[in-house]
Amino acid sequence: MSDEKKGPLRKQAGRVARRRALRGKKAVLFGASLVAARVKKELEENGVTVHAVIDNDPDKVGRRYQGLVVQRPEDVLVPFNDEYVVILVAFSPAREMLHQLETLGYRKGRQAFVITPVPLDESLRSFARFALRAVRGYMKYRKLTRGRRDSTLFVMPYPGTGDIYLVELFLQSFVERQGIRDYVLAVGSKRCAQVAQMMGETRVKVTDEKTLHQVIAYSRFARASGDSVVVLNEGWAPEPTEWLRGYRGLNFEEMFRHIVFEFEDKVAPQVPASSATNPAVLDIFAEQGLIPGRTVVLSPYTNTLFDIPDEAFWERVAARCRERGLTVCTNCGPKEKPIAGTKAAQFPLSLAGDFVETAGYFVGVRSGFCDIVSGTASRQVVLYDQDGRFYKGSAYEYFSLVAMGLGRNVCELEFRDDGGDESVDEVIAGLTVNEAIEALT
Amino acid sequence: MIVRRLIAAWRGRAVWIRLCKRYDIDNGAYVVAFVEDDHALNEVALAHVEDLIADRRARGVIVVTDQAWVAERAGRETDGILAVEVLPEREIEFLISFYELYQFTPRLFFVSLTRPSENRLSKMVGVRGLTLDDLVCLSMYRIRGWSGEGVARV
Repeated sequence: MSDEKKGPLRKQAGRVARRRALRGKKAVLFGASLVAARVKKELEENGVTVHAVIDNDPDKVGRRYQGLVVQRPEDVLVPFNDEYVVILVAFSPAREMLHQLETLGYRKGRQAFVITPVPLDESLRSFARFALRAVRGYMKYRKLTRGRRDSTLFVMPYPGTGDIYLVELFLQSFVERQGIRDYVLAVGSKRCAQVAQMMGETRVKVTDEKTLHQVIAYSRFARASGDSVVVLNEGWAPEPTEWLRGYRGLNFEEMFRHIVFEFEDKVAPQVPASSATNPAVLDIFAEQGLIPGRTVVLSPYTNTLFDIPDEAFWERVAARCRERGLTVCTNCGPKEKPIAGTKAAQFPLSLAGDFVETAGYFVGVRSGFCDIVSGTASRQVVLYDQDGRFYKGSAYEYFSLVAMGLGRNVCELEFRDDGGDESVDEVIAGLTVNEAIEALT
Repeated sequence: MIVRRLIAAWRGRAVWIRLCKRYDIDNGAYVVAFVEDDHALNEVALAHVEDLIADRRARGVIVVTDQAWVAERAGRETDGILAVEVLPEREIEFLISFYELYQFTPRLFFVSLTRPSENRLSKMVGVRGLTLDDLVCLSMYRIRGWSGEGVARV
């Protein structure tokens, strides 16, 4: 979810949580989405316990979601139960879903509350708001391209680092094919800019996410896209292609290939080279007492779309790695604690590939960081939330690095931690598969 | 340029408000706008109107088009089509412009592989065996339970 939408959601969730109508009632979350997960967290932080999660999507019904099993609305809400308060989380379909609730007897403001980042309707107020947004977008576009009409503006509003990595794998091929001479790549975060620079990009510009949203709004409205503004995030909501994700096996990389770049043939990705001899990385290894080639990098904290294993799991993994004579570090930010018994590894994203290449081993939850280090020669284990869904496919089906042709040394596991040793055994087996093969031969 | 576009969007808003009032759209109805002269696509979209109605538990669908043959064909379909509204091409364009400014409603669908702007569905036909049925049901009508053979119901 973009940062631009997080603020309004947080405020609305807090406001709803404080409503008198919720006191003594059981909260039912309507919408088992990534946005709803954020709302659930906000509600819980405000003292509201979510009793059940419902969704109209048949692919989600029966699956685990944030510690609950997703149910059909009718299974929970019929017959009408005054003990329930439904908290509806949605973007544009909020009015549809509210209508559905009203037909079941749940009235807005009494038994049903809506949380939506941007209220959308045909009112004069909404029209004025979006008209202003388009006009501002035009002004920002002119500023970003310095008024040069022959300059193409590439825009990446989504701050995920996996997206920028994937884009950079193909961007130069796209630029050459389109005969683009001059361009600016505008990204919404410094982290994205670091990844772009790691991949040799020199024309990257960091700006705020709001600006990028305004430029896109202008470009779509003015129909400027295709010649001067190109949005580089696939399925940037609400594009009609978003529900094709995962359908018939369509994966993340194919969506970029076909929708963003419109490649009809197979274009080879330009994977950046990594080095195990980068002095800056070797200095960090020396400072932390890590052994090059014999170190496991754990990546438990990176931003991810799905449920992640808890700290106890990582501690068990770290202990098992140490038993095998490996040093272990945690890829963590300045505000995050390393997993107990491991060293904190802090490095700019531009060094991520070299760091993991030097370490030799990597274990992480599926996130953009996994894309960035996927091209290294290190042995990698990537964990996917077994219940994670992404539109029409599972998290694993959609984001599999191996299926995308990116992870030559990656072992991918669908994960559900039951507190036992089985899942840890699988991780260790994935990490040491090369050693096992060597021992056999 | 942008002022002209805003005026078009404003006129599209008027078209939409007129449709809402005439057909009580917010009361469980949906509008499907056929904006392309593409027989194959339009036939597929008409064939799946009932799936859309079932998926949304809708009262029915209003077909909006500027093409006589779509109006005639939709008029013959009785189940679920509440009305057929033939609009001049200009008004269809206004409606698209309004939608391109922002997606003001979930109750309006465009049957097209290229419009509104940034619609790149035309690039997806045939990829991994994607059919027009897939694109209509999943991308245009957003029927989440669509599986390729039919619609899974919750």
